Amino acid sequence: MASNRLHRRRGFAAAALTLMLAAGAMLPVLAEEGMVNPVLGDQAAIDAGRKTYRQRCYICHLSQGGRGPNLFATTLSDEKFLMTVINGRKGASMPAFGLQLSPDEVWEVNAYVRSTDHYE
Amino acid sequence: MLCCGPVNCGLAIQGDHVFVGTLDARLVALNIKDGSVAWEQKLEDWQKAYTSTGAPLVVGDLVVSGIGGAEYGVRGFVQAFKAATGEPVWKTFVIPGPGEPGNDTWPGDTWKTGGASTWQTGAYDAETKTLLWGTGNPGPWNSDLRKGDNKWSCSLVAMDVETGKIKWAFQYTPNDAWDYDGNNAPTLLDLTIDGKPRKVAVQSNRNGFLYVLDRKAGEFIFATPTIEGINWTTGLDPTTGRPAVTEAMRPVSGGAKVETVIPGFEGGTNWFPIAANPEKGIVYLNTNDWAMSLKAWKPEDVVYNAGQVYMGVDYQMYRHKEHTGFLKAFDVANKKWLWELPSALPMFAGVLATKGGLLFTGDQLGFFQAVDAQTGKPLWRFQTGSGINASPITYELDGVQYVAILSGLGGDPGFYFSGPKGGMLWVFAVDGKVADTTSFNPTIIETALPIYGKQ
Repeated sequence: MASNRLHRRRGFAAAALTLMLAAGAMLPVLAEEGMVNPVLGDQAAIDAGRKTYRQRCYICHLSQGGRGPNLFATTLSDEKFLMTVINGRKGASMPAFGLQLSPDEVWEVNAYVRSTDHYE
Repeated sequence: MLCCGPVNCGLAIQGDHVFVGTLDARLVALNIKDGSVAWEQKLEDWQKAYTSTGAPLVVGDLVVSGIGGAEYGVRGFVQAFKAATGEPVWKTFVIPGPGEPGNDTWPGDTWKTGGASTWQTGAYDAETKTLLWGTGNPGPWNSDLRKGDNKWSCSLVAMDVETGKIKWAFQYTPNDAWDYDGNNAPTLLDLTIDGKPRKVAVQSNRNGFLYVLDRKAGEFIFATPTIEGINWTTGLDPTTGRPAVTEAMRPVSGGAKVETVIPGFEGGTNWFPIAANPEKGIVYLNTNDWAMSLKAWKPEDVVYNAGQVYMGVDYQMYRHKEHTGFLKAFDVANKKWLWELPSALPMFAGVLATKGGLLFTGDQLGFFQAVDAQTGKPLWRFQTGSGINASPITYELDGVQYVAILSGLGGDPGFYFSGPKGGMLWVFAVDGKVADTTSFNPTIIETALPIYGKQ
């Protein structure tokens, strides 16, 4: 079972990398804990992330969480954040944005929500 | 994309078919015996955020469906199909197109993405063969980007069931800026009001008012607030029902945050059906007393992109009183409120009235309860284990009367409350006994745990 799980996880990461390369995305840093947001702290990315947040995320996640969890206090790793936005969450209302947002745009949203404690 | 959760409000049955709408905007007829697909029709393009969450309505040999998606720039419509074959019969846009009466209430091309979804099932007046279908908010929420009445958003639209032709319409909230959907279907009653026999449609609205309309021509008879402190309007015109808007409560694109607006956009009475005693002319309704803030984005930031959110505002709901939810009784013929039963949390369940003088409804605390229709006193309650966001039904089978309710957090309440998600159907018999709560009657999966020697 354990080796199966490991195998699956490797496959998953490889598929994600392929997807990002295919999309012409900026290369993420592959650390032991997974992908790390390459634009964290970048002001242009934060500004772009706020725009995307307002247009796509605010309807549920509001200023500090609401219909969806407070993303400004997220404890998800960068990789888990990216994968949750791309694939959605089974059994919850979170839709899959993989066909609507590029990984770059998700990184920008991630950079934005990690730059402040609320939307305004 | 769905504004308000992956919900479904129900299905319809006729003959050998079960009709159900899908989140990807199809209407599907299933064969009742084996669940196979008898026919299906695309209502609209789900990638433009059209969706079907409402229950279809069967009238004669037609099955009728509305559509959702007003937060995403859809154009609302109602469509009828042959129930037997799925053949389209008519489709009526509730936002008039060019050349149709009312199109001039939309500047430029705003009618194309004006919302006015038809996400709840309408009512049917068999006597006049008329569908009475409620419509939702116009889009985007910024009312100054679509100056005009924006017909027929936030309205009740009367359509000939055979042709779909609009006979009349009544607009509850012209140029809505507050998401005051008018989708909740009206309850049809025959009453004497002010000494005159009237055939009325009674509708409890998100905008905080309970409307009484003459259903033959859509004439406004009167309206009454269902909650205290409504402040988006100073009142309704006594002849036409048109609201006098408090402009300070209307957010302006790029302007300051407006707060607190009463009621908040959830209403008033949201989707949950009201009940009536048709002989006494009394209606029983759940309504909510809460508030919101709205801040409208700059015009240049409000851009339509197919399939994306097209709201243009920041919004926030607020509780502002000890009690948010109320079950209330209103004597329509005598224009008099009779009693109210408060609840700390907002109500999101329909009401069922029985001829024997009982009301059934449920609350977010998970209690399914029976209430004395005359006094409003609770008579019995049962903890269902999750919030109740559905409508009770009652039916008789083999001489026993049953009451059934779905319990589970979903839709908008699922956004406001945490707790067990539930997802249970509870059925009670009038003379039933509550089962031992420690047993849950597990059914053995025979293939997994067969009796030894009998496999």
